[in-house]
Amino acid sequence: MHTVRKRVGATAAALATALGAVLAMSGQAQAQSQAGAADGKSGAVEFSVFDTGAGLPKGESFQLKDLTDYGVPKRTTEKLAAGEDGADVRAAAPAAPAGNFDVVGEWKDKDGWDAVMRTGYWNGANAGFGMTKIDQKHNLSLDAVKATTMYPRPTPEGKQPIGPTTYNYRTEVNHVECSGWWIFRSCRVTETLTVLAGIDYRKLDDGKAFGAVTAFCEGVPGRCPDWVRNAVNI
Amino acid sequence: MSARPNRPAVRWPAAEWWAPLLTDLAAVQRGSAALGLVVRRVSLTGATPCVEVGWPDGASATLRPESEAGAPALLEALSAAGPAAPPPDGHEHTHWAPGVDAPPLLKYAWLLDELGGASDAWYAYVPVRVELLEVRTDGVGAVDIGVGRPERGDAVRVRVALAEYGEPAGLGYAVVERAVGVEAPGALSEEEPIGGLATCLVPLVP
Repeated sequence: MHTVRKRVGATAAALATALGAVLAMSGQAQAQSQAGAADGKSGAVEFSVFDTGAGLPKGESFQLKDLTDYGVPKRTTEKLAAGEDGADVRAAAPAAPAGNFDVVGEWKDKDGWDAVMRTGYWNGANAGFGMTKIDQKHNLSLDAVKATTMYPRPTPEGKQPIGPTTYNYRTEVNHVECSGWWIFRSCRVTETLTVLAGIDYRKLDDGKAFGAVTAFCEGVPGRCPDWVRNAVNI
Repeated sequence: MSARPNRPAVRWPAAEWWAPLLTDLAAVQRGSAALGLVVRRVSLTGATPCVEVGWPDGASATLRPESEAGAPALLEALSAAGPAAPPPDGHEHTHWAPGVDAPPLLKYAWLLDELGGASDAWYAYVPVRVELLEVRTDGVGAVDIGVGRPERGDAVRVRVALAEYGEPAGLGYAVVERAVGVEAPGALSEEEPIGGLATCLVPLVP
């Protein structure tokens, strides 16, 4: 599960000083900010974000409120500011239909191509394909694969043919840590991983593409960290 | 691990240089399986690949094709030595998997297709460098995939038992992961070296 870490307990004086540098706050507002520490509006927050094209700044800080400039919905930002888990729905694997080739997801890639996710399988070691392998072996969700194919890197490496009909998609996922108060928290990208998803567009008898072969975090043959699949904007 | 192939193919820049060759050989093997043609060995240790092909009557051929020569050129070259046929219509655009009960040579064609179609397994999947050095088969039950491990200065042959496969499996990823996980080749059965490298043989599934 996505985690929101809260460090509560800063002294009132320190909090007021810090806030005073940002906002000219009334005494009433200071009182509210002290209450905010208890209800999650101040303290450290961690979350992750798929890079959907705007590109979070790397190596420099930004404010939590700026997330909306990077494609994160305002409502999600407000939830994070309140110290809540930003994602509305936790990404669980779709319920598995009976057959390996049953379709569990259909969507358009960044160019409007018809992408498909099938149930697939995983043998518990290293053989398999589709949703079952992607979920159970690589700890990625259908939403993560969709996001990777819909918002790949805006460079040639974002979507490239790797075979006659198979395309690899890549996008970055950023792990972010913030500290401070409410939407004025200061945030920094602390880790970035690249998700790679392979889609085979060869058709099956049902007229649809074979679809997702696999998806993984580059250089990670096992499970991606939880924060990748639990990104707040997928 | 790299974001780019160790040596990119021209046909598909995100693929390793040998991916077009294996994909084309898969087409040849699929079309010619019923004729008894076997791509016995593909060696990728030299500047130009070496492809050894055999037939049930003892005929054989050794080719040194360009890696992007294409299936028609391969078929033309092989036809001088023995029977060879193109794959069924729609081979490139219709998904196929022979199933676990299919004849071994058809399953071998499928395995070549799996290897050729997922060469990102060899540069983006594991955190260390690996190289595909060789594919060989007895044409009956086993396919050995030679994996070079440059950082260790050795190689591992990963044996795939054809009887256990025939459905989509991501075998390229499986082979690479298995090869990287082998600790000390010296402690395992010694094998004919690949490209002069100390080589051991391991089954895909321990």
